[in-house]
Amino acid sequence: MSELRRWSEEGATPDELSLLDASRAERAPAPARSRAFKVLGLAVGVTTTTTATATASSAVLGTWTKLMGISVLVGGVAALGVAYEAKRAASPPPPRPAVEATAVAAPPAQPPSTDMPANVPAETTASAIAVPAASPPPRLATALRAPRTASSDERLSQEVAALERANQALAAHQPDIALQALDRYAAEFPRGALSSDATVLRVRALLARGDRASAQRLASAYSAAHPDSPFARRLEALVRDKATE
Amino acid sequence: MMDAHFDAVWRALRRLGVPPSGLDDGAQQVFVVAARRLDEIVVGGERPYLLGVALRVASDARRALQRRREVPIDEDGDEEPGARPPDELLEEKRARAVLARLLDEMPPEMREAFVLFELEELSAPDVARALGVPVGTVASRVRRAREHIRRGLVERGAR
Repeated sequence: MSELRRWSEEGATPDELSLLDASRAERAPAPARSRAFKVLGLAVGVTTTTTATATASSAVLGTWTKLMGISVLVGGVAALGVAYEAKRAASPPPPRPAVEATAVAAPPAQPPSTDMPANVPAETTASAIAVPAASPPPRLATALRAPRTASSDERLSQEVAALERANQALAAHQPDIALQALDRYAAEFPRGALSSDATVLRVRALLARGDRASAQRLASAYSAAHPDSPFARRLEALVRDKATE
Repeated sequence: MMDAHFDAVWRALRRLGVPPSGLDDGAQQVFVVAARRLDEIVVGGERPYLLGVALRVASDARRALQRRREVPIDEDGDEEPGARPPDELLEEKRARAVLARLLDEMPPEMREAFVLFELEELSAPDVARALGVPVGTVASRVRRAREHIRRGLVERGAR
């Protein structure tokens, strides 16, 4: 059997090509797109993340935005983007994402049930600091078999909204308010799906209020719990950049 | 990522047999999965990753549809008025309706290979990874799908 090429190169008729073209030309209806953006906590046309971020992370976010085509990143999703870009910058690409039919790594329908977070001593900051513990990656096959409920979507949206509040406070140069928002997030979602993102925001808030020692402790605690995580590299970079300013 | 690939995900779900009523949910589900597993996505590999997830979501949606024994309604998305000549839009709509019927007649594995390779233009190795089969199997499924479409179009023309 010869190597597979596109049908257009293997003798498709004009009628056949017109079917392919008609399919490729179709776009999702605008309401479907806006509903999806709303559910995932992404708002078009507003950039809130980069303004209060350190110079290095602004550059990183800019690259991320360009790379991934997201014009706007908010809250936890923004931190995910930063982490992804940090990973991209810091390490060679890993093997292809696992999308094989029988073993696709993916999150559970519900927020992952991790070990209890390890708390950094309370005196480091007025806010409680939680380091999400490592857990084996769940499998998509399991996730997709599980019934997808409105509450799982709703919960994720609530997490994104909670982190967005912290992010907005950071953007407004109000790190204490950001820390309060993060405390509320930690209390409300002790095993939240976006707890690593919350940690990134907390380190940024601590650095913004000049508490580098606490930021360093939190970053180190997180790195110890997640040595291979792109979030850990991101946190270390944040603290390091602050130290060299 | 969502902005850049939303159309492709939405379209793939549609071609893979997700009914119109489930397209919004399906597309959202794909991106929720991707957002949570962002650290697994290789730069430049976003599209194959998302379409691989879409494959599973669509497969589940088709099974759910069979359980409920619903017949999907062939609805076409509305394009903004004035964007293109009406006759061109109508022709495209007709072509998509024909394609939808031909895809519905295919076995799922043939349909999946055809949608990912010919319609969403993933590479054959990416399709093979997404389906968990060798590249040769992808080639054979895609070619059988082409034959099915060719036959279907000839039969339509003969009627």
